[in-house]
Amino acid sequence: MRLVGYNDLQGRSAYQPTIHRQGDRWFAYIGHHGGTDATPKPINPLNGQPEFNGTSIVDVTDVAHPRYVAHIPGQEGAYEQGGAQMVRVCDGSQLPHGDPNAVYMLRTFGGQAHEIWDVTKPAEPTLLVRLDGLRDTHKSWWECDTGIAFLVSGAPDWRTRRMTQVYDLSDPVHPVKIRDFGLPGQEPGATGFVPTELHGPISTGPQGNRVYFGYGTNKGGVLQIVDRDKLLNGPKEPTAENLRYPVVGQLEMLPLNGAHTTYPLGKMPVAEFSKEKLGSVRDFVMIVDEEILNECQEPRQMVWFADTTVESRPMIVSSYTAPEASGNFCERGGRFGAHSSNESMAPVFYRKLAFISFFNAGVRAVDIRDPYHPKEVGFFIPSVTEATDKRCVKVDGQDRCKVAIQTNNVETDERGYIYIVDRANTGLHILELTGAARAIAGLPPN
Amino acid sequence: MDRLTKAFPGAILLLLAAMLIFCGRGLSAALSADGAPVQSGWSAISWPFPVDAWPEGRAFHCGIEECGTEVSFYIRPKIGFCDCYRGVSDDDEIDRVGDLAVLSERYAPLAPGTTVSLGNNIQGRARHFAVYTSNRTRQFAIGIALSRKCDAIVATVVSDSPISGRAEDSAFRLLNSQEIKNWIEAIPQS
Repeated sequence: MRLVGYNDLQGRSAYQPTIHRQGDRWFAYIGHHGGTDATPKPINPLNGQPEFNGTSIVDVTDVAHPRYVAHIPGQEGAYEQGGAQMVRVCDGSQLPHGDPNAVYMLRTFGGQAHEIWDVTKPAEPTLLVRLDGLRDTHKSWWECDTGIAFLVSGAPDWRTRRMTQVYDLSDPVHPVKIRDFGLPGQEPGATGFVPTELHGPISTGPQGNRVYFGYGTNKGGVLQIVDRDKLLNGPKEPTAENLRYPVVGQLEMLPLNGAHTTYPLGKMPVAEFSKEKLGSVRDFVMIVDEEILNECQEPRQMVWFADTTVESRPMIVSSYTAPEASGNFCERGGRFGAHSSNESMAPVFYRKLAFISFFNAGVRAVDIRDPYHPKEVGFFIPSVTEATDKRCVKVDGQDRCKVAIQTNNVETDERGYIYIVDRANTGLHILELTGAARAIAGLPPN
Repeated sequence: MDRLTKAFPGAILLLLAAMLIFCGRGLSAALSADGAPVQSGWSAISWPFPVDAWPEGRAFHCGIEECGTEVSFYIRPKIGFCDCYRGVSDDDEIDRVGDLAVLSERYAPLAPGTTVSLGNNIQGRARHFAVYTSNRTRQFAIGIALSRKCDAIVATVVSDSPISGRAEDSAFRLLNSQEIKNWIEAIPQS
């Protein structure tokens, strides 16, 4: 993989990048964690003001020269206690009841709220709606063709920090609540054990009629396969029975691993099975765990491939991890392990290559054409900069800190560029594939 | 007034205050001298539960003579599992982050919870529960959930008999002992 462009994102800790084409221009919308204890409100050079970390908007039309156009402040608070880490973007022309001339951004506001902004003019974003009063938020999903949004929320009356609130945002200015959803035992009024909290869903829309929910970040992972139509139109009262009604299948992972991203790959022919009369085409979901502790102080969080051909009995069939010894990553400082994958399903990479952020091991390009045998075909580890923040562990009761890259999230665009952002404030790196990896995607040689 | 303060009978508080003045030493030092048991009456035991999602913690046992009933105390971290914004601010949060599930997935609260604090940075709540085990017996437990930023420290006090005030006081003194505080201080943070 090769670096083609860079922006420092004003030295802000970054989480979700979403790349969106607006007319003849391309923009990266990047959600941020809160600031650091040392710098809770970094200066926004566009206006000279100190601002709590929120959302960066970067014009990436010319990937070699990305141009920072706006920062929208987020919730007060450092690290995971503030910011506006999640962001999705839809065109009004695609949303059933949106202004056809508008572009809308859905973002979180710390753990307090979901917000919808008009970003038709990315340099002049305008707040339209706030859905407030939550205990937490996280990695939401928004179907641009229907407007249905699966918002990761902490409804105050639910027993879990994060569950799903389904909204109809087909007219983003007038949100309509459809229902609450979660694992049985999380609903109001239940007693006893509370199942692991939601991390995030990915929907295949009305065509695929499935929503894949990932529960558990780095522990007690659960992949839940849900019938989208039953979820939207079935009984909505949050009872255990109604929560089970739309569930098609569920995979309980090894409790040592979580489910951060549950990325559906859909039906794929498996070359090795091509002569079998049955089962030569399989259905897959890629599950990415999130490492949360520094310097390997927890079980390795990595990538798992689930064969979901028989949806009621999903099974893990393969895995991938960046090899630790290849970079002595447990000693480099910060987190080492998987965090997230690209979520774009644009044809350029879909079912061919997956990009996995691996914290201090950078981003990893994985050939997934045979999900039974995933294979790494490229990687890129950015260099640290003066802005890169330290990461500490306790040694004999004292902080022992190291400065290390923490590639946090990754996304791709339809042009074939890969965008990685850093949790330790190093910024945005725009990459492209080279050599054999590039050929897998069918991109012309560079 | 937090749970620890309320748990001490007045006479013991006065006695401890006199000891502090007389000895010029902190409460935790008086309760956890070098090389002595972590806390009077409590013996460290092996972590008794099978491997699950969370790392093993520390386990202790206190007998009838010292605590008035056979009682066990378990404590471990759940890193990254706490509400970064509110910590353990209500009783539902004890259900969510607490560790009663190591005993059984079926439990029910017996009373509203109370606040607990270990210094300024670690605060949370504790609540009494009845725990229903698979062989249809009932145990009695105190679920304790503490937050340090986004991380939870969870403790469980459990007995086959109702937990007496004496046993409860002793368990909270163990929680507040310097050794446990040092152990918590050394836990990685998310």
